[in-house]
Parts: sequence; structure tokens; C-alpha cells
Amino acid sequence: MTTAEHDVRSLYLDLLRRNLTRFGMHEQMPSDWPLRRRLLLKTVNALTSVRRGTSPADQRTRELGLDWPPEAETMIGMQRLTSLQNCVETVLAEDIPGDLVETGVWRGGACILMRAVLAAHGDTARSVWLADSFQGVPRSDAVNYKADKGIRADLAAGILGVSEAEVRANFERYGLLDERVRFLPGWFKDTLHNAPIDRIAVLRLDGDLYESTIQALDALYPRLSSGGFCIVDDYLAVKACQQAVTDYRAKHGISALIVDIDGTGVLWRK
Amino acid sequence: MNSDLRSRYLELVRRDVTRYGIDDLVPVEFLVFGRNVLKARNLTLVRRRPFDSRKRDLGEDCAVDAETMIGMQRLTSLQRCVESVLADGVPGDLVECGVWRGGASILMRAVLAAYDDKTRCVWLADSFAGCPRPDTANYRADAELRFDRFAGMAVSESQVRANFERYGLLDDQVRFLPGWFKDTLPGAPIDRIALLRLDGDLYESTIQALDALYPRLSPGGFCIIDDYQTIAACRQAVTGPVGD
Repeated sequence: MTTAEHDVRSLYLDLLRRNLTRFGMHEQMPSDWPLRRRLLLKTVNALTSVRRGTSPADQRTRELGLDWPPEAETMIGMQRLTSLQNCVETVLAEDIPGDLVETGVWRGGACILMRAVLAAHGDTARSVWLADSFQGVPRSDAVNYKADKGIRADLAAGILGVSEAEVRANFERYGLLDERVRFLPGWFKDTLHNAPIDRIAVLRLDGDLYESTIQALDALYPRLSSGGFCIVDDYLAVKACQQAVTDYRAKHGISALIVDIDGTGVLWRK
Repeated sequence: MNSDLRSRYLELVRRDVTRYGIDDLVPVEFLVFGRNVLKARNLTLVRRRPFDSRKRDLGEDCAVDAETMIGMQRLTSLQRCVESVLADGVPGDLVECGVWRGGASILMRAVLAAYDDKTRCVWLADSFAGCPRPDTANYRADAELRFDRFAGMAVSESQVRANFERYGLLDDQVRFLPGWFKDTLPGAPIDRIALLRLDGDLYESTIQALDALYPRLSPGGFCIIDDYQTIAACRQAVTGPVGD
């Protein structure tokens, strides 16, 4: 690899990360959003900033991915995106076999970045898999998953539910939609067990609930290659999600060190 | 692979500076006794203008917050010019006279970065206060051109720097020449020019830039005139006096 090549790669991926987070840009609420959805978004962001003690206008909010952006393709923020890029680059450099999977994709930003890293490194073998209901978070099933009791993320379906067509359009806009971007539409309990994925190199869980997290781990963690990354987006932000990870790790005797990415997301290597 | 990645990066820059493919939200003025009442308390009334690829390709419209108004085709041509200057080793810096928000210059800097060129500079010559009032005594062709009345043409140097910063492209290879062309260009510390892009709109701005800088353009270098086919005064400055 020449120096120049390395530089173009980081130029491209750096600009892409700025794009996906709308870093340092003014955003406007989409004009076709109904009033209820606008108010919901404002309320969520106001509550988050009160809880976190940050100001919504703060650059650090987008750095750490603490708000729900009106337009940006991802809400995970600059640091988790950079960490994701490092994970994919490590997997490529060390030749860890398998595809890249995200369960819970929202507008697809993190997957767009993963696909771009593959493109930037000239990888032609791996696919990026997007598993999502494409209609938001399910209503919590408190009977089977007690930890999810009281979580009503389903009420935010107007914002959290993004259609497959919209996600495809987002990929398209970055010129990154091809047959190596694969979609698994449906609830995790229906789609993940029989998903036609052989091996996984990066598994990114962003399902928020206990249920979504444990179902994704149950179905997909066994297929994660050793040396592969397991990234949990909401580990430090959502108790139920953390509980699911703790339960799964205890049950399967996983002791790999959990690394804090930015105070919200964590990862470990298998 | 390498060239593919470069074109991916530069295409992303071009799409970004034009806000390509994105519907635009245009603020609607709503004046009561001369005051824009809807601007109070950070509220703005906007109208959605759907993205029109033909117009944006030709630079006939411009997104409200885009860094350039020159459109995709002129940007692509600019990129090709810089690339061919680099490929052919034509010596000299890249100069734009009349930069507005800096989009075209950002693209030029990005091309240098993509080809890992660390020797050339991008020069931005601008009043950073909009177009001058036409000097009809000396330049009769400019008589009707009152671009100085458009407040939107004036973009401060700090705003342009912030735009470069947002693309991660502000460094000492980006040089600023703030001031009116007649004061700054003749004594500008630029030795040789490989690409000269004139976007000063007026006869005066165009002829002053040509007089001061064209002699420094290297053979094989490019001279680009943005408004040649849309502003007669600008064209006249390039072609020379006709029966005058």
C-alpha cells in the first residue's frame, strides 16, 4: 500500500463519516413530517440532553451520538462510527473471515460506512447484511422478556421505523448500493435463525431491547469468526440491552474483555 | 482500485458542495413593516423545492446552504482540469478570483489531497464583501450590473474558512488574498499559475484578474471563465474591445 492510497482512503472515509452524521451542519426537520413526529423528536432530544447534562447545540452531542438527528443517516455519532471503521479495517487487515452484519439499522448510516470501507479497501468478497423490521422497534414482550417491561420504544415508530426503500435510497445516494448489500426484512425472531449468512466478521447489535439483543446473539453469535468483533450499541445506555448481553455471556462462558467505545456503545473480540 | 477510490472521494465532495440529490428548503420572506416576523425565535418559514438534476448539473439553481453555485458539470470540468495539470506536470498553483462560499476551491484542494500533492497551493482571491459597485467611469460595460446590491454575494473570509474546515481541508496549502482585485492581484505573491479560474462576474473584475495573473499562467495551464456565456460584460473583458 502506498502512502497516497492510504491518504485517499482516509480522506474518503472521513468525509463520509462527516456526511453520515451531518457533522457541524445545520439540519432542518423534514418538512413532510407530521407535527406529532416533530414534537416527539424534540422531546426525546430535550430529555436526553437533560439526562446527560449536554446542550443539544453542542458539537459533542454529535461526536458522542447522543441525539436523534432529523436528517442524518445515523445517530451513533462520530466516535462509534470511527470505531466501527477501525473494526472493519482490522478484520480486513487480519483476514478474519465472514460478512458484516447489523441488526437494527435505522436509516442505514453505519451499514453505509461498512460498505464504504469494503469499497475503499477493494474488498470484493464480503457482504453487508441489514437485519431490521423496517417498521421500528417491536412492542415489548414483557411476558417473555421481563427486562423490557416499561420500554415503549414502539411508540416512536414514526421516527425509528424507516422503510427498506428509504434505506436503499440512502445507499443509492452514496453510490454504494449493489448486490453485496443484503437485506433481511422482518422481526429478528423470524429472520435471523435461518438467515443465509455462513460466517460473520463484524456483528453490530443495535436493537435497543433485551429481546432484540438476545435474539440476535442467540442466532448470530455462534457464526462470528474467532477474532471477529461483537459491537453492542446501547450497552451503556439501555439497561435491558446490557442485561441481555450479560445473560448471554454468562450462559456461554464468554469472558472476552468488554471495551467502552464512547460511554454508550461497547465491543469485544471473540 | 486506487483511481476508483479517488473518483469516489471526489464525487462525494462534488455532491456535497452542490447538495446534489437533496430537496431544498428555501426560506420564505414574510415581511411586516419591513421586519421578517417569522425569523423571530429561530423560526423560519420554508418552502420545499424538489431537487432538479438538470438545473443542478448546469448550475442554474443553487441550494440555500450549498458551498458553490456553479453546478455539477462545471465542477466536474474543474476537477478534470486540475487532474490533467497534475498528470502533465504543468507547474504552478491553483487560483480562483471570486470564490463566494469557497466550494470550487474546496474541490480543488480536495483534488490535491486525493493525489497527495503537497507542493501546490490553492489561492482564494476575493473581497469577501461581495461584488464592487460598478465603476462606470472606467468600465462602461459594467453600467447595468449592480451585483453589489445582492447581500447574499458577500461571504466573509471566516465563513469560507469554516467551510474548508468542515471538509477537513483547511491547511497552509489554502491561501487567502482578501481585498479588491485591483489592490491585491498585481502584487500577489504567486509565482506561477497552473489553473486560473475567474468568477468575478464584472468586466472590471475579469479584466483586472487577467491583467494581473494571466502572464503568470504556465503554458499548458487552464484559464476558466465562469460567466463567459451568461454575462456580456465578462465576455467582453475576455475577448477585448470591439470597435471601441
